[in-house]
Amino acid sequence: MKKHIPTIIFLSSFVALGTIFAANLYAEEIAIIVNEQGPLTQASEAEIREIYLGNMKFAGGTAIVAVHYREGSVKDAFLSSIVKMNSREYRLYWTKKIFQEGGALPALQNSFQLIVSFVSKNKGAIGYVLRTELTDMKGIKVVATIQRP
Amino acid sequence: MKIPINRKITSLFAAGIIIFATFAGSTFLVIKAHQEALHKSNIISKKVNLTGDLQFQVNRLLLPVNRYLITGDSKERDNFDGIIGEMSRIFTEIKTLSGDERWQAVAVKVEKDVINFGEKVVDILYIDKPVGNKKAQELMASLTLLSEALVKEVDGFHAIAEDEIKKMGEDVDRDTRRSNIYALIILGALIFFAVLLYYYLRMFVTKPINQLHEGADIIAKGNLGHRMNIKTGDELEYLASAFNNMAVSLEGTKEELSKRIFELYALYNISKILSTTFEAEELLKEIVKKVSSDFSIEDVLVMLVDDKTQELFVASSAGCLSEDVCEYIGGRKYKVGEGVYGWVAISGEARLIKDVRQEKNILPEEILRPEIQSMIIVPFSVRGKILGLLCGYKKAPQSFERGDLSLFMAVAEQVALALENARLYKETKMMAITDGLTGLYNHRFFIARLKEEINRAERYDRPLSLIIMDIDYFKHYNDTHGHQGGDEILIGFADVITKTIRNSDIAARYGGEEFVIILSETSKEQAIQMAERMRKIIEDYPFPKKETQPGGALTVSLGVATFKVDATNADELVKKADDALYRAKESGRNRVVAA
Repeated sequence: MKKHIPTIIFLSSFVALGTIFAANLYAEEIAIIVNEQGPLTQASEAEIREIYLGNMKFAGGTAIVAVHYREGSVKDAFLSSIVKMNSREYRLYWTKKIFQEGGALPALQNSFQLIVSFVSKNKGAIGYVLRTELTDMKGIKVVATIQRP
Repeated sequence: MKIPINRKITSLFAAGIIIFATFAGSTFLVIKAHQEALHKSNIISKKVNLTGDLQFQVNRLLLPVNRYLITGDSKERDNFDGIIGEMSRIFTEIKTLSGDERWQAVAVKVEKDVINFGEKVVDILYIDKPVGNKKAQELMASLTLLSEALVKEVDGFHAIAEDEIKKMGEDVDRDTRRSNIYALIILGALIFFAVLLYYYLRMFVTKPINQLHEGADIIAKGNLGHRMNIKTGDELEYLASAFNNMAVSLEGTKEELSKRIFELYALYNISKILSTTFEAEELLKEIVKKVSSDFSIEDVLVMLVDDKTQELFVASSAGCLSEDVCEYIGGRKYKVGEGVYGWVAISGEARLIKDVRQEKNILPEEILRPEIQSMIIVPFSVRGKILGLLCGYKKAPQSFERGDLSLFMAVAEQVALALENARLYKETKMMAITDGLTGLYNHRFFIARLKEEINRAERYDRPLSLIIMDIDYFKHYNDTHGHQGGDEILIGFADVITKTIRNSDIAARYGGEEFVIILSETSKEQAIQMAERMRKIIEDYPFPKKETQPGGALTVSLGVATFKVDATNADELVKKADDALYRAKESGRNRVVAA
């Protein structure tokens, strides 16, 4: 058995590396989640963009409430891949928008748990999280998955 | 104008309601105006507050920027989000507060600048390594200036709000003044209406009711001539006119009653005349006079029926204008059954001729005199026998009424009664002084009369004689032919005596078959002659069965005595005459012996 140890270690390290690699690959995916009861079942990237730009405010008669991470790489990734704006641009956009049209800024939450909890509690809520973090689907559903660039 | 009371009151009530409704309406408008002002002032104060809030937030936004420049902490961006969210909420509210053009113009400008300001803040917040960055410091300085400018710009809202407050103050002042004026006008209208109502009620309700009340009192006190002049055109006027009608009717009735009372009084006066005298002629005279004067009738006549000639003659008249007329009337006679008088006298139906010109059956001579225009003829009767007519005449036509007819009939009844009474009186009087069998005066009357005559003869020193006579052998005649035969002889004797004596002589039955004759203004010689003549007439008179008497004839013996010559008083005179008669009997009967 002893003579197999280096082999086992090699293979094991290989598997471990593979796993880490795979996990890294999977971690690049961002899931768009909505409330389980929510009106959206599917959403295109364009639709998600419009929602986060505050241009699409209703779906199936329910007001849509978009929620962001307060800050961080997931938010930056989401903004750059879906909204096609950086944080500064997004702020400028919303500053202008709320003064011109009224309404509120998108909601902000500090953590993954709080985002999931927010979405599961608000019928019209829509949010985004890392796909890998998503294990418990209670009260929520995934309407789109996007690759992180 | 005929308006019933209920409609008047309803109209007044409606007018009151209109005034009240106006009052209520204007009050409502005033309240509404004040509510609007309150609402406006709420909005204005909201504007002022929100403007202040916005300015506060603008200044507040500088804080995270400043902190970011000091710390470089990206968390200040979240603070920015919070403040900018609050600002946008305030600003959105400000925008919707007023549609005013000026307001919106300021809003557009503020919007542009606030976005610009926000963008500048974001620019600073996204500077990498801001701490000690010079460029950032410069940006911050310009941002501070920008914020000051923005605060000033937001003051534009404030200025508008202040203007609005000023304007509103003016509006409220104006509204208050206006509502005060309205209130005064309405108060004036209410007072005017109340005064109007008072005077209206006084004029058309209270006053006429008082008038009615007073009028009724006056009428009740007997002033039946009082009339109420109420012209309200409603039920009160009808009531007043009903009162007036009642007064008219009462007045008429009262007049009628007064007339009747007067007539009754007049009738009573006439009936009183009845007790004053029993002389028919005098009675009639008094009655016609009374009727003429009391009833104001120009001429009054009483005509009587003459049984023998069946003619109506004027028994009494009153009121004739001249003696001529009276004499003329006095001489007129109308046949019973002919003409208007004759017809009434035979039919017993009274006639009322209101206008003689319209009566064709009246002859001109039947109208008392030409001036007479109306007349009334009423018959009077006793026990169905028409005794005569009571006639009244007036100069004016239509001056007699139905009532006068009944009055005349009542008077006529009195006349009939008076005449009957007079007749009965006369009859009774005669019965008292005459002898029932012979119709000559009785012994009592003779004695009384003799004394009167003697008194007169003595006073004037005139002669007076007395004859006493007695039927010879009257007992024989009585015995032979019974008392009835004797009575017949006595009646015959009385008849002869009455026919033989002069008008001035008074014959009486002295008793049994004795008779006396008072001869006034007669001397003894004249009396003896008279007695002799009497004796002779009786001797020759063809009394029935006088041949059965001794001597073949009914004769008398007469004694004559004369006052002053034979006696000085009545008793003595009778005694002397009686003695003479006795001597005549003694000396063979059928002869005259003087005392």
